[in-house]
Amino acid sequence: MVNPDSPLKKLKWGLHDLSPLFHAPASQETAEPASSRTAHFGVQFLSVCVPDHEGDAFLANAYLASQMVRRADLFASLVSIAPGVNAFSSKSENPFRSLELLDSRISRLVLSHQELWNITQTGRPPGDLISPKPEISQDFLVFLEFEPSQFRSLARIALLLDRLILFVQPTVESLREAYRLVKTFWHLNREIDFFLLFRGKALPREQKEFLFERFSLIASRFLWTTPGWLGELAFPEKKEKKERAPTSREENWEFNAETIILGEGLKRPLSPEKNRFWLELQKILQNRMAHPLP
Amino acid sequence: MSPRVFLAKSPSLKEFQKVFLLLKEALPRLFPQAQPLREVDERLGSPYSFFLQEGETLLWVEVAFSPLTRETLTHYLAKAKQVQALFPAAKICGVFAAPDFEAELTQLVEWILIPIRLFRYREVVALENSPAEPALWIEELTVASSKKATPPETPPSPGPFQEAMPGGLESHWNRLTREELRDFIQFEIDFACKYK
Repeated sequence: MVNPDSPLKKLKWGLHDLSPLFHAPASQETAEPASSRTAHFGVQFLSVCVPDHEGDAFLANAYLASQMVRRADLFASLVSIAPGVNAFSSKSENPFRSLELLDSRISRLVLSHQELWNITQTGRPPGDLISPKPEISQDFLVFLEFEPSQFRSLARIALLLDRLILFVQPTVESLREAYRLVKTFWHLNREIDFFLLFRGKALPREQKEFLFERFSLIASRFLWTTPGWLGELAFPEKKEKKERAPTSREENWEFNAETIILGEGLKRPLSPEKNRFWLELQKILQNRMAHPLP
Repeated sequence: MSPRVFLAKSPSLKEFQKVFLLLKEALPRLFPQAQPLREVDERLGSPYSFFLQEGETLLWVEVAFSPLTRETLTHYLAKAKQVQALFPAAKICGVFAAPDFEAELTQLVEWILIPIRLFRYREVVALENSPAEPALWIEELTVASSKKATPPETPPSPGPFQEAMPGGLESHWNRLTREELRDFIQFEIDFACKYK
């Protein structure tokens, strides 16, 4: 478990060392002035899915979380819904010892499916584990990390989501996989907003527009939903490679995170499931800050 | 039964050019009414393709030397537009021969605007009548595909803390309707035609 006083922690996911995500040099940061922000959304529940590449969910969510908090005065928490994890089976007094701080503004919590179920179960007796008032006043992004190919808890996760970001390659094949995911979540919760974010190879702007527009057309035709556009963002490991300069027909599309950062279009108030989850998460975070682990 | 053609003394499949010539000889046997099209527009010229005329139908034959995937199919579909443009009065039928095909392709081609027939060719070492001679077999997959190309995906049944999806959604998981599939195929074709 990380000591919050110790900023250096090598965080690995598979072969990826994620540490640089949380301790990037200042020169790489592209923070926009916090003063330019006017909205106050409280909390939003996001998830980043990589529909054509299983196993990248944590990397993608961690990366997007780090990008968001660099751009605005936000806090983020990664909530990993992990198969095989069952914190309640531990005899420890604190059932949420899996909470760790990855950065001064990013925390990570690992939940088992059972915990997710318990926290979001509506109809529980009031006062059970829940503090009556939310205490965290800063805008907060909750990134739910899960592998969509696993059916477990998918319906429950969908109930929590405000937004699903599809981190896709700019290819028709990748977009088709994304569409399948959109279709599934749209059936589970019609209030989810979907966003496309391109990764990978550089394409001329015209091609990216074509791909996005055709995808939107199909989504609106069959699912009556129109995805939002977040631009493009290279995967973290690509950053170390020297990228070629864009040709005259290519333009670097920025990662356009404003809609997320400003909380535009969020549907409020929170549903009972979201509210319960958010209250519980605040309690966990506050406990963690009050009692840092040795 | 799938049509089969036996070619004695066929070379190794590694020698693709020889295989191509053998297929060029073999495929007309599958279409006995067809005649080779002698004059082909240069723009369609390719060392791996040829044309046969069968009444009003123009058989456009493409031979691949590696398994055909969805990605390589889009390359051919871009060419299909050219073929249609050059033979506006003809009924075009694509005949694709390859050592193998990506599993989904036999389903996908059902939704392409022009009819496509897929033929798998493979080398077999021993035959009943000539055990010592290598041979080339050709089988049509598109006939067989009408039975069932791929088994349905069956998600695991819900267990503790695994909620069942509402309304029997499991059956829709990862599956596109025919109309959705058709739109995505058209999407691939249009993207390939425009940018590849």
